Amino acid sequence: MKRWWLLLLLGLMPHIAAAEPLKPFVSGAMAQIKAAMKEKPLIVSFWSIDCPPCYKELALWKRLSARYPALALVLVSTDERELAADVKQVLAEQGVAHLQNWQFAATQVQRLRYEIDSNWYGELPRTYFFSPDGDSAAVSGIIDCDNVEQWLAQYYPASN
Amino acid sequence: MIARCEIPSSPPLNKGGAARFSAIGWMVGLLALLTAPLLAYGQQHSHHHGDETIEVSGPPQLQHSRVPSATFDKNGRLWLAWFYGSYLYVNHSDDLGKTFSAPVAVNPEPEKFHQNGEARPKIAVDGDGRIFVAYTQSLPRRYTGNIRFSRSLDGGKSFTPPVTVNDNLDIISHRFVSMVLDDQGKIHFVWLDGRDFAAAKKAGRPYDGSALYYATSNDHGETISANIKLADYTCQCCRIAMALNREQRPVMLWRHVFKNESTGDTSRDHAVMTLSENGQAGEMRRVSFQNWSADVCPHHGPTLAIDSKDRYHMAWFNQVQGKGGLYYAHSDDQGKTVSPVFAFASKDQAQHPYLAVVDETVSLVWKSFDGKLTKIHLLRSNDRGDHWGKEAVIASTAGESDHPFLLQYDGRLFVSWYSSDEGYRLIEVKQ
Repeated sequence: MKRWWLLLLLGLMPHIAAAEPLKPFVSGAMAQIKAAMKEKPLIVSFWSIDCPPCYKELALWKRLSARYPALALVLVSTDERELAADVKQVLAEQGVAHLQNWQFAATQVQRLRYEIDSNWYGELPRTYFFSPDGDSAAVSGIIDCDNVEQWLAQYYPASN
Repeated sequence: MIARCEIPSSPPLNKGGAARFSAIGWMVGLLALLTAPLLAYGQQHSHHHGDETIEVSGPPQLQHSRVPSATFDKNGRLWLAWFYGSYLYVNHSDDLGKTFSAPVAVNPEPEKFHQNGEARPKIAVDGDGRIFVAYTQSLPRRYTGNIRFSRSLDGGKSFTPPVTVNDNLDIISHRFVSMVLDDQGKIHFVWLDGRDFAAAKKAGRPYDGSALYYATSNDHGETISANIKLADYTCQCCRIAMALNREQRPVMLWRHVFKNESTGDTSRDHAVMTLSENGQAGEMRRVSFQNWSADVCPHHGPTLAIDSKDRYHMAWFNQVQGKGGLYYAHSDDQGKTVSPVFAFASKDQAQHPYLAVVDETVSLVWKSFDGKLTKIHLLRSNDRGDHWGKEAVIASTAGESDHPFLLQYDGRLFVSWYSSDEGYRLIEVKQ
């Protein structure tokens, strides 16, 4: 009957109502992501809503994903599950909600990080570059965009 | 090419979303207030910890508190401060951590906390038995907080309502508080403060990092001084190490954002500062030169201990050419010159070192993870850090764990460590 207020409430919360669910990143997720992208160059970047430099890097991912629409770019939030709504809000604000987005969903976070990379100490942002030939590289801190462009130029013709 | 890669010099903080976020925060706050009496005991409520969330219910339990901090009073009573749900609790142990008194809540109203290994409650007890606690209350916007302080004048039976230490009350970052008590009973606070970053952002100027701020109390916590800025451009997300030197002056060691003026590159290395005699900023001196040149949130703060001859013992985590490791150095002249750096651990994710010095003996603990077990390692020097013995593993866990800390009482040394499987442990380090 008088459900207009519910509609109003939903209307006030567009991000909560419309956001895509974040894929839960648990043990085995990294292998799953890599297997799905075996033939393509792949970038997997770990970030958090609590990390100021990560915001700068999200802005870079937005730009790069626009220039290289075919790029396999996966973002993984390391924030606790309860903060999913905030994570989605930041992804929307930063214009990267359309990318493949995951969020940490394990209780043994140290173990999960170790499984991803035994040389990762939890610093953020942390980004992995996987080449189709099996090469990989890890970068802590904001990526050097020129280096990424060079890496991508090997696989994708410059789009403009 | 370069033009395409240009990035904004400061992160767009809550761009366009601040109002909505605040509104949600307000609603959450209102709900929390309405349900506060129910939440104190019994009701299920969620509990933040760094990267994960666990549900907590029932009476407060130290074994599920995640980041407890501890200190000894002059009678050897162990005091702990720990978060559980929306409250900070204090309790004590008279048998070196075997049994504990019933916890007493510090904050009368529920609060949200900034809590992880680097940002934890701080507790200190003075010679007259006054108990002081400091912590970071998290505010309803990302990476914002206030530094809160409370004290007990009745031996821990009750605590005064917490007050805010930072005199800037904008909803910005005031976090990572450290607190020490000197032998005159003066309380010293330092923390990382975002007010200069916020001002620079408003004015369109670049500002890399946070600032180091200081406040003091000369009347056992009755009043707290105006805030003093000690340094611009600190790293935003690492704990600050603070210790007292021979003259009982606070000394701070922290991760700083150093800028190479010729290249414009920044690196996150360590700086030390001794507060001046009149309580003002002393000279800041760089003590590590490893050039971890990433715009990064390391979440790895340093550790500092000062011996009776005024040698500053310092240890830290850094990444050098992509490899993480732990390093130690000391200085006999307040950081003007620094000893050769000793790389004491690099295997199995060695991290989170902590230092203590008893007479001539310097002890270092840290944790490692080999994919299965987290271990606590100990390394000692009997000649004030000039030579070091063989490392030993003194504890381990298969679960998640907190950073390790060293406590001393009456010449005895203890490791204070929390792990999810074993709970809180106080482990004596045999001489």
